[in-house]
Amino acid sequence: MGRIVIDPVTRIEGHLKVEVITERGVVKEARCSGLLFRGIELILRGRDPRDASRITQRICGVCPTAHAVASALALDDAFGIAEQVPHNGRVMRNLILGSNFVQSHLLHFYHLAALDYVDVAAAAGYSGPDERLRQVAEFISRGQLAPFFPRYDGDYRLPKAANRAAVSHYVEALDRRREAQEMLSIFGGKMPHQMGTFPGGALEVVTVDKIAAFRWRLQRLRDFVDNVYIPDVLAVAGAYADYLDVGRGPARYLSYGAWDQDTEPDLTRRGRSLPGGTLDGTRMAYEPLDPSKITEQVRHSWYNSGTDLPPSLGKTEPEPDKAGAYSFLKAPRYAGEVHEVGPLARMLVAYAQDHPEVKPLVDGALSELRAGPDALFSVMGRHAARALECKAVADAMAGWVLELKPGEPVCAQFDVPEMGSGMGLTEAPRGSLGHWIEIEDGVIANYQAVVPTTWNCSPRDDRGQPGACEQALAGATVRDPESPLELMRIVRSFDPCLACAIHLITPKGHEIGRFRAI
Amino acid sequence: MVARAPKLFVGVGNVLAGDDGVGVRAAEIMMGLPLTPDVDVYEAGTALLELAAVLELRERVVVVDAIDAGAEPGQIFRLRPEQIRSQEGLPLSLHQLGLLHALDETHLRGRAPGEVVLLAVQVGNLSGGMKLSPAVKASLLRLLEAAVDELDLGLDLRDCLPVSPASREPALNR
Repeated sequence: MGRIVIDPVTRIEGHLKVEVITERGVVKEARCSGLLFRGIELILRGRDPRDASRITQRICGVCPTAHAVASALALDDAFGIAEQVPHNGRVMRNLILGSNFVQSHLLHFYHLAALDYVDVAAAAGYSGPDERLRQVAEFISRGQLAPFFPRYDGDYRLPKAANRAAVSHYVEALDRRREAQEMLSIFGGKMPHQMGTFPGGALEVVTVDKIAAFRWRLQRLRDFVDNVYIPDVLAVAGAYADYLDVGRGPARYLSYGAWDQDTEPDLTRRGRSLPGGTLDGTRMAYEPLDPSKITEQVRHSWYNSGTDLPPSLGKTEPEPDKAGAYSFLKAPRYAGEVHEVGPLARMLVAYAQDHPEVKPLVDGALSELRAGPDALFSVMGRHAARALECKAVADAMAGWVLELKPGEPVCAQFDVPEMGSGMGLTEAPRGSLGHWIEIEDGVIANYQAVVPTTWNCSPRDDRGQPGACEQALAGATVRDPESPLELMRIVRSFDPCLACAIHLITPKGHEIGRFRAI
Repeated sequence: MVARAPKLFVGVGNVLAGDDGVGVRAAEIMMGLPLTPDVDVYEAGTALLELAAVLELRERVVVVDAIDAGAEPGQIFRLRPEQIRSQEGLPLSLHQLGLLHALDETHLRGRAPGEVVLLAVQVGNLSGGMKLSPAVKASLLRLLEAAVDELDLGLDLRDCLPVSPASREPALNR
């Protein structure tokens, strides 16, 4: 028996610890713990409801944009103005969130995950014609690989030419990410904490110049996604085809749906360009979304509040000494079952509904990989789904930006009601994001946010069912406990919005090594 | 793109985590000062992943951040990026790796900034919601004076911040 612990050294926006028990090199049991109690709910109580979309962006340094959108949707609902969001406001919100997806997916593949598969050290000593590779070689020669290039020795399988191309793309992706960020700021205003989304719509004035500036950047990004990102992901998936069979998880998927196409006040009936719903992967059975089935269970979480409650009734009362608890994350469940969220969930839910853009993209990738749909329930399935979704969103934005109407209204007028309640469901790059607000006496009486990583990295629930990432880790083989790259690959495929590191601990609890991951 | 100022002030931190937000508070105060066009102020929050674009090609950068070095709350440290790098593995700064990452990106693109200085404030309380602890709040004026000095802004903060009638010191009501 051995114990391997993945624990943070830094905190971009939170702490995640992953601990596994291995037997003869196979993971028997995994535990994911969120170690930071943030108390956003307590901070918001008593404030003006309009503050929520500003303050909730600060929950996360990686996806502030999605929090702003979820919050605006919850406030639209609570203020009773969802139907009055003007055309321009709706479209701008979609462009803001879409830009964030493109930027975030590129960041995740090239700058957080690719180095698990691409050997950047192979660029050392390069003196050929590729300027980007020369920059990397120069960087390496200065002897400062860490922390930029955290790297495990061992399992790099890409052919030399493909590996070099991927390193060059790594540098090119820095520029593309920047363009996506600029694109976001055209309609989001100030960055990194954008001010563009607001209850009732959006705040930027629409001009022809802004539309042109957005389109110009989007065109370059679409070109990169089609001709670089997707081919790179498929090349990696081909070279590491065993990872089409690793990290399966619960094989139940949840998406709230995102990118409003109308202003129907009932979120579950609102037209969205990626649909909401659940998919039972083992039967490929789709069901429409019913938000009343979402509850949060706390038997294994450091909270003393009631368990199995809908988020709107949930409380956040910490109890750090609680017996049997091991995480500050609650365990969200849908109809009592563990569900995975994220790009794979969104693509599968859309695929099961024969989505006109998603279905051919997924079928095309599967035929290239010579695999069936169940190969998607895996580490490589998550990377492939993220890349395909990046394309679907970027392509859709090319149409949306032309729907904007220069000079027309962007935001509805509203009064803050004395009483009200609202629910905002959308998708963040890394999964389903929900905000729930209760207003009393004109101020926030209760605010609850259930974030993607809470779904994916939840602890065990009231029935003892492990969370999605815990299930994905179980059964994994670790060849070298001093360099547990297999575990990092599994955890990272979920794109958890938490910085973490690995501490390796012997069965007696003595730390034998420490590794960093972002 | 707008032409960029040669000098840059960056405030880093999480305003939801008590003293961790000190860099953000400092940036907010800086934004209210009568600055010359040769300096930009950027409030990064915890979103350091996209900081590289802001750092590129600047001549002088001051980053204000929170730190836990086990010192007295409010104590200010002046650090160079090389010093942070050599301390890797220690929980020295709360956002140090994000900053190093961003700097590395600028090097990779051949657009690294000139001089980068980190002014880091020892935290007292990280669970204070959106409030700074008294010791850290009391350090704000010294912190800003140090930043103004590093960036050679030629400003006397006592002339441009509102003065509290009781103490005759600049009032930083944050």
